Amino acid sequence: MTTSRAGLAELEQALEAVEAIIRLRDGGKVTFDNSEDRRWALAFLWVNVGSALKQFCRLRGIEQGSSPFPGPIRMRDRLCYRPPSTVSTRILWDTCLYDADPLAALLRHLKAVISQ
Amino acid sequence: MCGFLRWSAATLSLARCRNPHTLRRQSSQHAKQASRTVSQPALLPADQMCEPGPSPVTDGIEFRRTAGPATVEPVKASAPEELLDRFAAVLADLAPRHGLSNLRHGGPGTIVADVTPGRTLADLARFELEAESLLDHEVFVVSSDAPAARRLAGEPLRSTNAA
Repeated sequence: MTTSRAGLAELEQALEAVEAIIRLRDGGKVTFDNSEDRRWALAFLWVNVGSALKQFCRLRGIEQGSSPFPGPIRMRDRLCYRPPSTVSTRILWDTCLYDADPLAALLRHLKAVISQ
Repeated sequence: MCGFLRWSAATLSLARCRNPHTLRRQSSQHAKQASRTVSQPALLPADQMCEPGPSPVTDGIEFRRTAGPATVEPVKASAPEELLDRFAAVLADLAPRHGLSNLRHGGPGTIVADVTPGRTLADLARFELEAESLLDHEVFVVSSDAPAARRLAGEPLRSTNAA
């Protein structure tokens, strides 16, 4: 049976990964552009976020079609199953720039709701 | 763009495991729609599953064994180029809503597209999900500034007016 706190650990995992993304992103665009290691680290962290949220949905019995996180989960699938050469570094950077903060805020809110 | 968080926390209150009989029926329906076999090892110990999972083999189709059958979807076949052409007009209409333009063939199931600055992987993801729901086949978008795009990019999608 699903408990009211089911998926809490997965939310925490996703939040930890998003916070790592924010931390690395805040290292700046120059560092991002100059470091292939950093770019792949960020891609890995987005995979980590999507995997955690995918598992969160599973644990709460949320169907894929109605998942509250279709964006991050699909992003994860893209990064996991497609060749690295299909990743645009510009779009990867913009994803870190525009999507990480609102996702972190949402995950914190969700975590607070579930923890109650 | 940060619009990929389009839902409310109220969704969570609906996120309960459903009647297992309903779940099994849905799984069976998915099985009938499946076009190829998927097999992966268990992702969770059985005692952590929210409902007892069905057999990984349903109606002759293997599924990922996961927490709940309703979260399992069979992998769709890649959209053939003819199908992409047949739906070219629809895809061209859908694309700008996600910051995409100049759609070109990139091999089966693959579209190479120009992506507006400021758009993110979430925009590409949403386009793919919507296109897949229209075509019932897998669609993958490669931005024209990705390293692979030069190699992949072919002819523009051409509407055959059949969609």
